[in-house]
Amino acid sequence: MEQPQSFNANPRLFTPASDSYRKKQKSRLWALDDHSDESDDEEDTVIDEQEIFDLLRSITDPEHPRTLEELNVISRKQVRVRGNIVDVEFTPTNPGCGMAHVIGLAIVVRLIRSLPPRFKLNISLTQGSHQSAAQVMKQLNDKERVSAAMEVDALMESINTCLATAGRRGSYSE
Amino acid sequence: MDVQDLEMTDASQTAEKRLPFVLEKVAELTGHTERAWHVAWNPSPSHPLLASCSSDKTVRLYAYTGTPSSDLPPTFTFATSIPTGHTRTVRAIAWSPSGTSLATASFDSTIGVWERAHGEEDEDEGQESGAAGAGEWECVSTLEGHENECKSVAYSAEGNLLATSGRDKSVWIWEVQPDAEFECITVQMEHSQDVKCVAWHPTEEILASGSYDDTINIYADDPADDWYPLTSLKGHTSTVWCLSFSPCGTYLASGSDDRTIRIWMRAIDRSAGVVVGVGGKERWEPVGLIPNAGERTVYSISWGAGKGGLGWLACTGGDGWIRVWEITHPDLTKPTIATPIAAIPSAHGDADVNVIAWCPRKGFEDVLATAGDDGVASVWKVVPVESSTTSMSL
Repeated sequence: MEQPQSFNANPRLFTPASDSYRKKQKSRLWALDDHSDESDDEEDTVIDEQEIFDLLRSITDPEHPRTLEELNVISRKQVRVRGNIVDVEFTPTNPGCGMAHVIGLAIVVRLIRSLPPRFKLNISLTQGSHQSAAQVMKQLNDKERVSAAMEVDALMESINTCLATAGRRGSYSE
Repeated sequence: MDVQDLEMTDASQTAEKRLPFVLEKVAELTGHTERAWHVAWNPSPSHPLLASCSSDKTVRLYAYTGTPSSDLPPTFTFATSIPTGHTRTVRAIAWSPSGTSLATASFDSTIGVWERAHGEEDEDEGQESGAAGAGEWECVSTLEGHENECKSVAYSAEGNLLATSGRDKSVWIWEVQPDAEFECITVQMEHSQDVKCVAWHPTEEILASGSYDDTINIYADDPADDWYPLTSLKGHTSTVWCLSFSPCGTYLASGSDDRTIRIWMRAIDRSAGVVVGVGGKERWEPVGLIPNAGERTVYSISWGAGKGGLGWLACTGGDGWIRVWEITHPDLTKPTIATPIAAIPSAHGDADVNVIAWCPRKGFEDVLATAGDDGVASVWKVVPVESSTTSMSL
């Protein structure tokens, strides 16, 4: 597929939140290639808003060499956990962003791989943040579409590239 | 009749009410290594089999034995696993009415048709090759044509037609010919998005399809021409995931991501007792709405004969519940009535439940099967509260 032109050549950057990220209890070297299944860590990890945000904040944007947190695509207050229900809202960098579905899929894939299966996800786009918000949201919440997408190697390759940095969990000191 | 009226009359609140039946788990069939998407009961009494399919690309067959109309539940034994050779998820399966062929719909864009390998087909099942269905199953045909993921497959009542649907927005109808030959007789492109499901009328050659575009289409064959869309049913506010005709064929139920079930009725001239407008203008009208059929997406419904009224409608979905209603329609000028008769939460633990299906065999009207994201296929029996083991222990 032809690589689209940048949808937002000069995105506004945000300073990462000053709230201290929660490091994993176990000492662990985060491989850049973050395919590890973290659900085996469940026992010593509380799954709350902070944990969900930590899982997502360092995902790299598909267009810019920046994290979703730096681009303010996602913030701590856009995550809600109620029992087994996880609500995540994200904000594409501009209303015409053609990568919104890729960003959304990266978020969904990251959570599917990281969370114990009992969690059910609701993904939304910030109201008014995108011209095709309803369409993107419907795709991301359709588990059949998501599971089919996860079987497409070419797509997963770009998703995995976005997720390669996710294990940093907000830590920017390499 | 507007939506408000429909909502008022339906008894939909399953919660907290003492229901007359309970769902007892009869079997828990494990073995799939990934999400189980679908189950299908072999409709033929001479092939007592339950099939399940999964993202692990296999189909598993279970043989069961049981006495029709018995209080004792049927018992299940693993018969065989078909590796299928599909390169992606096997999303849906369907048995031919004769019970000899099994069709598989895969995300790899193909439909497979499977039959038990020759030489092992013995009418005296259980004599030589172990349980029914055991042994080799071979792919006798591969149907190509869909552009991408196939999502649903269904045989017509007579078994002479096979319908398939997929993400390419199309519905295909294939003619089943001798020697496992299939010929595509029509491609219907009435939907603007993925077609999630197809369902045949229980006796006539009428097909329904439900879509990600939130609508339902009904198709019929014009003997002088091609298949054509009879009507389009609108009302759901999100993806239509599942469809099931009533056993009598007069009603169609639809389940949706909007968390409702809608019931549609074939318009009948009440004085004459005949279908209105056959041959082009047949109408299906909204006659019922179950507003809170689930707390999350309704992935599957099944309308079985049950033991009363117009039959029992079972539903399941992303909230993990199984809910069963008895459907009645005592006054045709008013909406249908859905009376909750049984319900159980967490049917597959924390997992989504993707499919529910009543056993189509006579004497097993109270038996249903489900499958979920936990990779398990479960079998349930609907038991009156007074005779259930749970109530005896109270």
